Amino acid sequence: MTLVAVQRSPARRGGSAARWLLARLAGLVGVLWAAATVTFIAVRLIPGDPAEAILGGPGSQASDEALAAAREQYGLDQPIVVQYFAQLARYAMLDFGQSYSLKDSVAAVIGEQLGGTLLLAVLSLALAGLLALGVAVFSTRSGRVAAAVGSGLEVVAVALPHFWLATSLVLLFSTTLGWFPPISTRGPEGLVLPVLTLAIPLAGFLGQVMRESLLDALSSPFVLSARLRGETASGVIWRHALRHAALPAIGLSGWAFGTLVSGAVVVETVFARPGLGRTLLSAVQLRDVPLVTGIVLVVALAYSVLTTATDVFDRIADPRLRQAAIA
Amino acid sequence: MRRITAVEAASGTVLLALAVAALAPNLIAPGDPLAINPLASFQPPSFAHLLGTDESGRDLLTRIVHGTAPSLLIGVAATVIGIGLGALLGVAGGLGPRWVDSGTTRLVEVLFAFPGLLLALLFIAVAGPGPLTSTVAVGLATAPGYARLIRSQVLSVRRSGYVESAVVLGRGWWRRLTRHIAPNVTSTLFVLVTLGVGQSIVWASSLSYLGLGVSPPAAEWGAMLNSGRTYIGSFWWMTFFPGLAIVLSAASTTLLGRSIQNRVRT
Amino acid sequence: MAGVSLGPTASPSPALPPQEAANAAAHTTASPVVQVSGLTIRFGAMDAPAAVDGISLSINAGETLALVGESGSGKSVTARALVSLLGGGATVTADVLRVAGLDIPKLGRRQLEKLRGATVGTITQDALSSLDPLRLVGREVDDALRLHTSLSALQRRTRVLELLAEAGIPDPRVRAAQRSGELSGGLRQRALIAAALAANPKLLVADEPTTALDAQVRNGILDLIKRQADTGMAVLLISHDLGAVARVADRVAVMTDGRIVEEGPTARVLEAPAHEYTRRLLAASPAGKPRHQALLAGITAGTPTSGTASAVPRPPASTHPRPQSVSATGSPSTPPALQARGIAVSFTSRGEAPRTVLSGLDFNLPEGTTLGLVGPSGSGKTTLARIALGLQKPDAGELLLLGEKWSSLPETQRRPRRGLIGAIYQDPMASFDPRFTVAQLLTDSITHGASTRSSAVRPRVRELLDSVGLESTLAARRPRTLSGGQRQRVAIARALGAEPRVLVLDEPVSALDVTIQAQVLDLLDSLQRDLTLSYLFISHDSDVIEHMSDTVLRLD
Repeated sequence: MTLVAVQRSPARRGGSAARWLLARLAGLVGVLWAAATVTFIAVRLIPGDPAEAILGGPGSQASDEALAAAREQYGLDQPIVVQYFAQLARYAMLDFGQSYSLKDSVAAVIGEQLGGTLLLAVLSLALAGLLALGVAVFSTRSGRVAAAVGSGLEVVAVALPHFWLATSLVLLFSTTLGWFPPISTRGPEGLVLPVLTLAIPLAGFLGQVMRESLLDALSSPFVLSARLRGETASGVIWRHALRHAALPAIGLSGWAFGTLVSGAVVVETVFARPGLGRTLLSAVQLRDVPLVTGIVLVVALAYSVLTTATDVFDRIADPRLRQAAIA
Repeated sequence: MRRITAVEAASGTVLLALAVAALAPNLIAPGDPLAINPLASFQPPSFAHLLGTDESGRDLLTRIVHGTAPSLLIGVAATVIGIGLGALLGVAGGLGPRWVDSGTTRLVEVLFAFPGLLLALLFIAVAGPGPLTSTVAVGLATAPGYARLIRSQVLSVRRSGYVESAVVLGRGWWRRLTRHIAPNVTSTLFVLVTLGVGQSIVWASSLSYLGLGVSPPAAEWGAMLNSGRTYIGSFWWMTFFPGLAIVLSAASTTLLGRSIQNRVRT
Repeated sequence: MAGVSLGPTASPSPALPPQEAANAAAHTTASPVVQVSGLTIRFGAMDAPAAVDGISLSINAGETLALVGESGSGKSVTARALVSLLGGGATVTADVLRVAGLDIPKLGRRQLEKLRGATVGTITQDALSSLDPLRLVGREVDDALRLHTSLSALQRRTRVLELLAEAGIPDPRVRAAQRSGELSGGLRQRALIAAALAANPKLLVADEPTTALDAQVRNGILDLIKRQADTGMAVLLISHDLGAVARVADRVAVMTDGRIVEEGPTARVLEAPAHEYTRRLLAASPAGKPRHQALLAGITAGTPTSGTASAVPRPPASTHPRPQSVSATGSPSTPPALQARGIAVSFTSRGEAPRTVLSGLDFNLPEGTTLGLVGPSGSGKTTLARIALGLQKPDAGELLLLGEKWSSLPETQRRPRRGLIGAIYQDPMASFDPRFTVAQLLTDSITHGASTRSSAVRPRVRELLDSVGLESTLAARRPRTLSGGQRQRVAIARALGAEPRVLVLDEPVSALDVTIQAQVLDLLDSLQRDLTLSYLFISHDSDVIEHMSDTVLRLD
């Protein structure tokens, strides 16, 4: 056996965090632009006279003056490309036009209704997170109950439509027990049932994600090492495994927010709560196109920003995403 | 084959009952789901009407049983649309050259910017409400999720060790596609369908509940929910029982899909 | 110092220099740190075969006992039993099971948690996954201090840095603030050792501490372990690496199938083994065995556990004319199997400066010989293998296969010649389509992927199985039901189905036990001679490389 050659090659590494962030932000802007384009195209697809569509669709019986005003405001006589860029410019300045059904600027309507939905979403997200954590930790114990809870989580997540859950909760807590009002009142007690309705299915999903990663972490070699150093059973969960379990759940919180807003459409309707969801529904029913597009775009904006933020958080919190391990 | 678990038996039984209700509803509930009987309206569940009656006196049990077919059909159709679109985008992205992948991924990202039902609502705002548009709307809203899943499956198969081995052995692109990539991807598609039907049923019925899908007097679960909406406080059975049918359908298809997935994995 | 009590007050103060600790240890009573007698461990039902079947061992302070055996022998299970960390499904019975005078079966949960870390420090293998990737290395080392001592946070911080330095980690302050992914394999293992030693345990259990480490790094780790024994710690070294054992252990116990079949001083056991299994183990190790000497010649084919050859492999008849056996230098008229000129590869990831992986690489692989490829991780071994297989194009330079252009050919021209070069990987399962049975895999290889019902296929499949020493009854089975050794043989059979002249083998035996490894190496050797194959052989195990290679190419 003869040693033939020794080949040397230097390795160099450069920094890339700033570049990554820049790329993500550029992607975010790109998505927003594309979303605006999609809505622009969608609106132009409505059959019939676009001016009529903006004012409530065919059969809205808008007056001729209103039609003329709409045409002028939206520049509908000009070539489509000019319309497009004009619209983009308006969106960039958060000018979404005029809601014909509410006789107010769309931006103003959104501003008023945003708070109610945000409140619901934030509370539901927090509750869902806590529930998911509790259920996930519980289901890692051994025993039939824990295992049943574990596999039941997914069913809860998928198969409980908001309207049915809302109905059942109202049935249980309002009609039968009388603890909470069926229609939202001003006080905090009017928040309980809506928040529960939104939180439970989400908790099912988050709980399942957390449970799987918790079980994964508990059976991993580094947890074994921790136990071999004398870590207590609870210490293993809270100091070691939970961090791993929480990561994917937190990473999903952007997406979770999106489903909460989507669910708010039903929940606000059922409980007659003021908010973007209920407003969006009536806008769709009334074919109030500026209002629909305005709300949808604002939600898309918030959602995209949130998912980018959770991506950034993921990258900061999980060093494995940043580096190729030096083996 | 492992023994059938209690969960699998239960969901299988439910699905069987649903199938019978869909194909031969008169076996379970003879009677006309559209027969009006104003004198018997708003009756709570009783011996005569096991699940109560609605605002026109129609028997709820009969309506639910006869509503199985249209309700499930909508769910399945929406799933097919969603998976079809998703597969188109996902396979194109996974198999095609880099620019096709970039393009489809960007498109999916944009669709993803509209969370949950919002995309469906936008579509309905453009195309108007109704059973057809709501079915397409649900398909559209679920398509991006499927596209992502299918694309990642296609990529993982394409980059797998066995496809690379096929390259080393000298197999051409077409051979690799037909002998290795396609068979290994389609096996996951089937599971996706079973898991997806439950979600589609729920979403489609949510749209009907909001008044944007099937409208009364059709005996479809979502439409029944819509008419029961105003009476939630007083006549709860009008919303509860159709909703329960939806929950059972979604739960049993999802559980069955999961157990198939678990069996195939081992 | 009485060697019996437990807890923070019993261990010497953290600042005690090693010499004093050694003196203290020398004054203990003569009772061994580890006393085991009649230990039996079963998993699952009462009639399940015992994972550990009535073994006895003892370790004194300052002594290093090596527990040697292959996977499934019960060595790791024994180590876990010492700290009672086997899980609920295990039944442990023993006449005596004592560590540092403590009766293990009688300890409660809290006492066991105190025992682990404070009295017994354990190192597991694969430090990359044994250190929490999300936690700072310093915190991992701090765990035992936090749990078992009453030092203040500041004192603990200082001690952590001392421990890292004592474990041979330069720049401890920097490293303590990093995460495990930022450290190299050797540093990670040292950090793991520091974490295990933090609370000054009386017993150190090292479970395969040097797996997959390069020779130099490995020796450093072993010396570190030896130093602990020198300071009076008892050490239980679990390893299948006989070289490591020879370097560090005072005594050796050989374990197989749950039983200890031989025990004694290291030198005696390794040079004059008494038991047949020990002799087979020593014969199977490629260390120091010359080229072309069958490792297991004259030794019985092995117990019917995994990957046994049921028949002596017979070479397959081949349709290609083959050159006569060639000497190591090759006859000048036949072109070399592989020829590389000026191969260079750079790797650019987005946002980073380009990294040169290979540069200006020249080598020849004469036909019928083996070129061993070694180097630390990241040195480009796998990249070179992929270039040889035509899966990657070099940035510069050229590779010739059997004297003709290979790396510079467009794929359409290369494809018809692909049958000439085949590949064997470390994990054969990854290269098998999960839907195929063994017969389908081999058929696919023979028929070049076409579906034919030709009657010539079946006998050829049987012939291939014969040539790698597998029974034809395995043809209908799926590879995931086979053992590691059997799977690798299937991979070899499949590669042979295309009748190649050159094989690229990327860590082909690294995942196999020593005796199975020896069988596969012997098989590869005899196939090379019978079929005049040329091998490009990659391995991190220098013993395997020295035994199998005619020439060696080292990458850095």
